[in-house]
Amino acid sequence: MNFNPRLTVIAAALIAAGCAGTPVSNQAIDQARATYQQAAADPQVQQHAQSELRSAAGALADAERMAKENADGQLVNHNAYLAEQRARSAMRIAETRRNEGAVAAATEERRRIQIEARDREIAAAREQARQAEAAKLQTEQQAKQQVESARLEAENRARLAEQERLQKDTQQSELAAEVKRLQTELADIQAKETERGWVLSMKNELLFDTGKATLKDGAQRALNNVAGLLSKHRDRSIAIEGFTDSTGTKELNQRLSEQRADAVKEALVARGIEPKRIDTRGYGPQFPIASNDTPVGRQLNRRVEIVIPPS
Amino acid sequence: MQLKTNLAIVAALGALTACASGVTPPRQEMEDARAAITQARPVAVKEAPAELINAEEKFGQAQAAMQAKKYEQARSLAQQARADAQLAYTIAENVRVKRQADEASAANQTLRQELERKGEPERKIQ
Repeated sequence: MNFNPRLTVIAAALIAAGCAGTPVSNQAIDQARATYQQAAADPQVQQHAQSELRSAAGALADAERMAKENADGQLVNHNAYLAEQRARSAMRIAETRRNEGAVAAATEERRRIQIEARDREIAAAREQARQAEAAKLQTEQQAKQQVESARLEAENRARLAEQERLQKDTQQSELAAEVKRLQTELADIQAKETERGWVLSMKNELLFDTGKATLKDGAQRALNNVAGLLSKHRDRSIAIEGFTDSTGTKELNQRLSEQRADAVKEALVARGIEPKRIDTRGYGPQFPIASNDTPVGRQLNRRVEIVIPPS
Repeated sequence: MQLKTNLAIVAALGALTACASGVTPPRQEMEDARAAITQARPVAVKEAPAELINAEEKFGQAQAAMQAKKYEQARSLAQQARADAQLAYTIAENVRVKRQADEASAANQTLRQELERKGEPERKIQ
């Protein structure tokens, strides 16, 4: 918006010119020449504003020639002015070309940035996919491991259960073997395996005097053997059950059978068997195993049974 | 006799000066000036108003000179108006393109910053 000060020099010279002769303004030519040289020095002016530069050069040459020929100052100043303006135009055109180059470069840069942004997005997406894949793989592996360890655990458990079962079977066979040995050693003990477990049956006559609940001396051996058997199977609990025949009152028989069962328990406790392993019951004349009508049958019914339930 | 010869010489010289009327009206120069101003006006009215005013004033003076049949004067003024109008045009065009370049550069800077900012969270993913 501000007026070029150089212009005012030349313009003033022109305006002041009347029809009379005007002095040649060396200042005007020098100014125009300086501007022209500035323009000519710029290679981009040479490249993009050739015709403007030439046109400026022509006007400058005219001005210089006219100055030499002492032509009217107004004419000289006029050509100097044209040279000045045209040189300035040439420089401005070169500047515009440079800026156009900058616009093109910026467009290219913008494109590059957009491509880079897209590349980064792609890379990020790939990375995400890779990580998701890796995580999935890890989860799968973990699941497999869990299945495997569960399977191993189940196998272990099955094996342990089998071992326990074998052990119990062995124990059961050992008990059976010992009971049989007992039986062969002492014909007085009847042993039977029932659904309640092993039942050792001993006649009352073996253990007690008639009508009494105190143990006979002859019972010691039998009780030693039973205690010995029980001490070998420490995990077993037993029940001692007393029975009588049908002779006499039920109440009397009931009490007698209880007392006899207790007496047998006492004897076993004295031989080191824990009392809490032993249950005692008296059944009196209940549950006869033979007919009470015959002496043999009655003798059979008068018994003590030791029950060893299965573990 | 000496005086008449001198007067004749002066008159002849006077005829040669630029202030004497040219023979033909400078129609081409006037047309060129008018065209240059027409080209310059749309862009220069905003970006180079001073130079445009310069050109238009000179053209007005050239038209006045044409009316007064001062053809040499009109020719000079028309040439100058044309040079002024061309300068106004190149100045205005330059401003326009420079603005484009600045805007594009600023836009790129913003784009670049946004790209860098987006890139940040990526680096945090382990």
